[in-house]
Amino acid sequence: MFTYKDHAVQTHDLLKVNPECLLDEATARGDAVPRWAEECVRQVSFAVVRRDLRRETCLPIGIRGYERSQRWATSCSRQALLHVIAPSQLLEVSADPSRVGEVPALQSLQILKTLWRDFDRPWGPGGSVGFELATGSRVANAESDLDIVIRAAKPITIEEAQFRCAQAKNLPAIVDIRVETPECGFSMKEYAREDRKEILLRTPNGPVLGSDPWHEQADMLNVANSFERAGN
Amino acid sequence: MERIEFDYPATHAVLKKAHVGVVGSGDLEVLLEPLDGDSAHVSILTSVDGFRNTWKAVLDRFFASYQGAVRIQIHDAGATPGSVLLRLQQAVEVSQR
Repeated sequence: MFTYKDHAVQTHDLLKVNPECLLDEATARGDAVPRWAEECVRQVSFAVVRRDLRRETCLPIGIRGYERSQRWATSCSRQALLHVIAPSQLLEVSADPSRVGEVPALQSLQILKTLWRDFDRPWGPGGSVGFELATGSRVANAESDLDIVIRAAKPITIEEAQFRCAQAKNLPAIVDIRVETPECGFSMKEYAREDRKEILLRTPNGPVLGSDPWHEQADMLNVANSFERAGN
Repeated sequence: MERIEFDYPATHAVLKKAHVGVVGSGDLEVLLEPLDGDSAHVSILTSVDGFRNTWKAVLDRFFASYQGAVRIQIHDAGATPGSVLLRLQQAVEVSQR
């Protein structure tokens, strides 16, 4: 587990990074750095934590580019890391009122904050809305979905998932809710379906089909971790 | 947004349709339906442009071991090739249930 100031850093967290340090590390490893990625790191200096096998000393991260197809997957050491922001911390950030008028996803987040006042699990915006709130960089647009991340250490019942999905329906933007358990991440909408059998679980080893996001993967992850330890 | 289409030969009929997945970040929705004749048709609508060759590689791999006469519609929101293959296999499994 990678901890920073006593908190575990998790998938979807946003990291403020030292651009020169990050780029030097990538060059030292011999990684090819796309020109747009270098520009974006220098301009915005923020990265998103990716899902991947973890080491104690560095984090898998992704750099957003200008286009949807531009995502640079790299890693970040402790030396290059300046600050960590979890999606739930972004609920405290107020969006620029003129942006709320232009971006339905930002407006939807305001409505959801009211609807989910009583929701007692850590949750917050990810994707372009989360990135914009954290960085002030105007990456969300009129077509953006609102990506929501819920951290669920304890199981969510199907009824609870159906209730939260229903609340998030019919907002100005499409709301895409990702639940993160200690083992994996999954779509709340798929989990909430009546007719579902298996759903897609995103694990550090890649996607798998399974039915219990809180338990099913434990054995497989232990096997993978022991491989990783053996490899080190 | 980009639309991509492919055709593959098919050898056996499929009786049931299947609908799996969700259109959400990094995921995709797959609708698989029986098709008359001896071919399979795949139609992809993806939010990420410029990955035609990757789609072809994934579908070539899938149809190397699947010969159902089907129409497959994919609505993609930036899924990885691993997720695409998993969803296609899930759709086949549901159509055989």
